[in-house]
Amino acid sequence: MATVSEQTVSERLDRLYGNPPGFAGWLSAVNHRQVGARLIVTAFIFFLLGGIESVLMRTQLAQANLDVLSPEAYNQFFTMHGTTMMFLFAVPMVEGLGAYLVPLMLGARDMPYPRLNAFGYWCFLFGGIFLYSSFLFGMAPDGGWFAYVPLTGPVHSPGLNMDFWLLGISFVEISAIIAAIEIIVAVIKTRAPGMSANRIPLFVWGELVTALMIVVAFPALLAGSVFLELDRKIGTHFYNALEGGSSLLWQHLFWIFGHPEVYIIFLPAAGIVSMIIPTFAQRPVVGYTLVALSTVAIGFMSFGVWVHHMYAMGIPFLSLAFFASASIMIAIPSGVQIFAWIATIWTGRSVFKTPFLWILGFFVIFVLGGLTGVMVAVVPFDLQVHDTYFIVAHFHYVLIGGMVFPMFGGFYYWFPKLTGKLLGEGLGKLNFWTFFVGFNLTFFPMHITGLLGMPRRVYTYQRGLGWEVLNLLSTVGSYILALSVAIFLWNVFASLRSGTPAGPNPWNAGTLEWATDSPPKNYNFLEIPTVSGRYPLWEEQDIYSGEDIDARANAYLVQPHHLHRATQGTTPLYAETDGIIRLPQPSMLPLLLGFGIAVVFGSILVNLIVPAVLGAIWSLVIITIWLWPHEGDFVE
Amino acid sequence: MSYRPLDTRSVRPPAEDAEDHRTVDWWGLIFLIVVILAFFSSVMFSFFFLRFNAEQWPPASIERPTLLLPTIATLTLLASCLPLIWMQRVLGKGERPRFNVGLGLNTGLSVAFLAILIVSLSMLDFGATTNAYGSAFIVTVGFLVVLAIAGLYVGAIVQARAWKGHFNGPRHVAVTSLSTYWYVLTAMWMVVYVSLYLLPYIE
Repeated sequence: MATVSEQTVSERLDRLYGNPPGFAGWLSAVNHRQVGARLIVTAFIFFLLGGIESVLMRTQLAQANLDVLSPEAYNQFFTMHGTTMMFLFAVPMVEGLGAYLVPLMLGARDMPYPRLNAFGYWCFLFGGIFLYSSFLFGMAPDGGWFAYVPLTGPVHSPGLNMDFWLLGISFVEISAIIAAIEIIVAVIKTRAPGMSANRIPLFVWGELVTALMIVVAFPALLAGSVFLELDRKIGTHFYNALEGGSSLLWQHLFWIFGHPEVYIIFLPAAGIVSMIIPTFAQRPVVGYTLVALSTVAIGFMSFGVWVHHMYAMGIPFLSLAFFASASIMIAIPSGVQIFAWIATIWTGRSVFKTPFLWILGFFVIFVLGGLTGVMVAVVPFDLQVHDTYFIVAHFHYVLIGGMVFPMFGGFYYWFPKLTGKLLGEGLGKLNFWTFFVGFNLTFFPMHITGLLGMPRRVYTYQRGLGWEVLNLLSTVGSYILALSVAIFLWNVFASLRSGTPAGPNPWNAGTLEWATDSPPKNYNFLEIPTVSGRYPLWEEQDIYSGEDIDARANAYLVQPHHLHRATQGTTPLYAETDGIIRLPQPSMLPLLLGFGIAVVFGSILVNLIVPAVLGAIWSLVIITIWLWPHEGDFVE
Repeated sequence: MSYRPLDTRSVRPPAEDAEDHRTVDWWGLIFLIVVILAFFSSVMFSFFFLRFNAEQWPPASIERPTLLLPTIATLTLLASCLPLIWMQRVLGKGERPRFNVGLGLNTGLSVAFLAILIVSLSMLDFGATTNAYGSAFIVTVGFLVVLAIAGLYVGAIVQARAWKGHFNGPRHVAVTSLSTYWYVLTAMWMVVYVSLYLLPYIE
C-alpha cells in the first residue's frame, strides 16, 4: 500500500488552494476565506463611514439652530447613513461572515462557485466606491434611504444624486444576489457526509434562510430601481401620476424588498447567537428543531408584513388588519428563539467571556426593540408616531440590537479563527460596556423626543419645544459609541501585534470550524470529516471515520498527483457522498467582468452611449471566456 | 487532528458520471431561474398594479395592440422548444450530428421569434414614454427580449462547444441548462402574451 506523509500532502494542498504570488495573484484570489475576509473588512470600513456620518448628524442636532451641516448636506448625510448601513454594511457583512464561515462549518474545502464569489466581492467594492464617489462631486444621494417617489423622480430631483443611488444600489444588489446563490448551493451540496438537514449548525440555517430571502426579495427592488432609473433617464411614466403611473407602486416594490431586508440582516445574527450561547453555556442548544423551524417561519412571514411600513398611505382597512396581524404574529417564532436561548443559558454552566457579554447585551436591546415593535404594529399608535424619532429609536434598537451586538460577539468569537490570535478580554469588556451605555444614551431618549413630536430627517429644530436636553443626551451617547468602536479597533491592532495565540479551539466549541487550524490552512480540511451529531467536536466518535465512499472521496481529495481544487459533493437532505466537485483555479476574470459592468453603470450615469456599449461588449467577451471549459475540467 | 495514511491508488472519484441534477451547475441554474422569476413577478405585479389603478386600460387614446404578429411570434417560440426536446433525446444516444441540427433549428426559430416580436413592437402606435401603459407594456416585453437575447448568446457558446465535440461524454449539463432556461423563458412569454395581448380582447 503506497502511502504519503501528512506533511507532504499538507504542503502541497496548501499551495494548490492558496493564491498565486504577487499583486496579480492577490487580484485573482477566489478562495472563500480570502473573499469572505475581504467582504468583512470592506463592510466594516463602510460601517465606520456610516458611523462618521451619524456622528456628524448628531453634532448638528446637539443644540437647537446649530449650523454644522447645511440642510442639503444633512439630507445627503442621513440618506447615505441609511444606505451605507443597510446595503454597504449589514448585508455584505452577513454575507461575508457566511462566505468565510459556512464552508468551515460544513466541512468543505471551498464554496461551489469560487470565481462567482470573487465577482460578487468586486461588484460590491465597485458599487460602494461608485456610491461614495458622489460625495466628490457634491452630488451624494439625498432622497432618503428608501428613495420615495415623487421626491426622487425626475421633476423633484433633477440632479445626478439619485442616479448615483439607483445605479450604485443595483450594482451592490447584484453582488448580494450572487453571494446568496453561492451560500444556498454550498449548503445544499457541500455539507460534510453525515451532516443531514437536522444537524446543520444554526448559523448556517440563518445564512441559508437569509440567502433564500435575498434571491426572492432583492429582485423586487432591482425592478423598482430599473423603473425609476428609466423614469429619470428616458422619460417613462411608471411613477408619474399625471400619466397614469403611481408613486405607491414604488413603495410596494421597495417594502416587498425592505421588510424581508430587516430579517435578512437579523437571521444570520440570530444564527451567531445560536452558535455562541451553546459554546459559552457548554451544552447543546435547547430546542434545536424549534429554533431552526422558527428561522424558516420568520423567513416566510417576513414576506407578509411589508405594508406595515405604509400604514399612513391610505391602504384599505382589511389589508391594514391583515398586515397588522401578520406583523404581530411574527413575534411568535422570534419569541420561540429567545426562549430557547434563555433555556440554554439557564441549564448550562455559563462562562462570561466577552463574546457572551455581547449576546447578553443583544437580549436586552433586542427585546426592548421588539416591544416597541409590537407597539408600532398597532395601526392607531403607528399613525401617531409615524415619521417621528420614536421610529428612529425603534429600528435602531432592532437593528443595532439585533445585528450589531451579535456581530461584535461574533467578531470576538471567531477572530481567533481568522487570525490565530485572541482579542484582549479587558479591552473587550471595556468595548462592550462603552457600547452598551453609549447605545442606550443615544437611542433611549429618542423614544421620548419622538413622543414629544420631533419629526425624523429635520436638520434642526426650534428652542423651547422641550427637545434640547434629550437631543444633547443623544449626541453625547453617539460620541461614546464612536469611542467604543475606536476601542474595538485598538483591540484588533493590539491583538494582531501581540495577541495571545488561540490554538484551534480556544472556546472548547463543538462545531466543525473549530476542527481546523487557526487560521485554517488554505484547503481548510485535509480530509473531509464525517459527522454524526450536531456538535461533532463534543462527540466521542472520531470525525474522520466515514463510510467506504467517504474514504474513497478523501483518497481522491488528498492524492498527490491531482492538480485541481475540489471538494466533496453530498446529497441535499441526508448529506451522503455523491461525487467530487471540481473547483476552478484563481482567475482574473471576476475582476475584469466587474470592471466591465462598472464601466457600463458609470456610462449610464452620465449618458455616454459609446463607452456603455464598449463596456457591455467587454463584459460579454469575459463571460464567454468564463463559460468556456478549461483544460482538465471534467469531460462532459 | 487524526490523519490516516490513505491508499493513493484508489483515485477514482465516486460517481464520476454524476447525473446533471446532482451537479452544482444544475443547482446554480435553478437559483438563477428563481432570481429571474422573482424579477419577472415584480414586473408583472407592477403591470397589474398600474392596470387596476387606471380607469381604462389601455387608455382611451390608445388602440389595443393587434394580435396577428404577436401570435405568430408565440407559435414560433413554442415551436423552438420542440428541437430542444428532440435534441436532448438524441444527445442521450450520442448522435452528435443530429444534436447539432437540433440546436441549430432551435436557434433559427428563436431568432425568428425575436425578429417578429421586434417588428410587432415597432408597429405599435405608442411608445415607452407615451404614458404609464406604454411604459409598462414596452418594459415588460423588453425584459423578455433581453432574456431571449441572453439565451441566444449562451446558446451560441453551447453551439460552438458542440462543434468542438465537448458533449461526447455522459455529462452535458450545459445543454440541459440551456434547454431548461429556454422552457422557462417560453413559460414567461406565455404569461406576457396572455396578460398584455389577449386580455384586452377577452374583457
